[in-house]
Amino acid sequence: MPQDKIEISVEILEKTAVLYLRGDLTFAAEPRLTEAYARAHGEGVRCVLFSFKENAYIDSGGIAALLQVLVKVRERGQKAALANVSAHNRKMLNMVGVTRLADIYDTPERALADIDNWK
Amino acid sequence: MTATSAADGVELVLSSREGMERVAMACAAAFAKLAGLPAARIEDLKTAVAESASNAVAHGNRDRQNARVRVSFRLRYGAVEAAVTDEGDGIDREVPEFDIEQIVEGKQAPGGIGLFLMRRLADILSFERLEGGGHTVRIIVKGC
Repeated sequence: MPQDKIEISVEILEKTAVLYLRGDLTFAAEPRLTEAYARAHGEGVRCVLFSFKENAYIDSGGIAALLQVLVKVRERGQKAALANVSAHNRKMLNMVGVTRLADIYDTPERALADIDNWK
Repeated sequence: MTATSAADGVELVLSSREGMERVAMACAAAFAKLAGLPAARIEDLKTAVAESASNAVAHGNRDRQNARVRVSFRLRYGAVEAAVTDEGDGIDREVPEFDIEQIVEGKQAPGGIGLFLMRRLADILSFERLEGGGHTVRIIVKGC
């Protein structure tokens, strides 16, 4: 059955990459997520912000794909943040422990304001 | 896909295809709303049912196209009970418990997250191998 394939655009703001995730975050998103992060990393960024579509569908496969990328971010000494995460998705991500690897913000603007303080 | 309703619930019979977990999830949402579950608990039920249905397709039915996944919902003492049944034999191996520390340290690939979430989102979760074949996961989510 056709699923809502994820589209990911990358915006570079100085030393921060914002990855805009539009669509479902399932394990099928893994190649695009990995590719988008590789592109961001290639720009020499220090921070990566994953901005979700409001009320995005995220399943366990999507969380696994996200974790694989977040582990790479950490290994490379970069910082990660997530924004626009629904209350339920935040609950799941907290349960899983994603906050060990990334801070979660209500909006991309708040994330970017905080990221400015990291530098 | 077929659906039937009983006096106290509904049953879906889904083809064993990726994406069908969304149908199960939509039905869970509608039934739980009718049952009067609060919004947050409806989300918990939706996720637990979707994860269970995904597992039923991928692992229980091993992606066999002619297999079926049965999903039923009923009210029990103010809680919603969902049952997801596949045509497999259940979990035949120890599924490693998901551990974020192992993931962070690079000692384990992320796996078992679906089961991990089901255990935490449902109030009661049980597994049953059926006589004559098949396996059922029961998920109970209470209103409060």
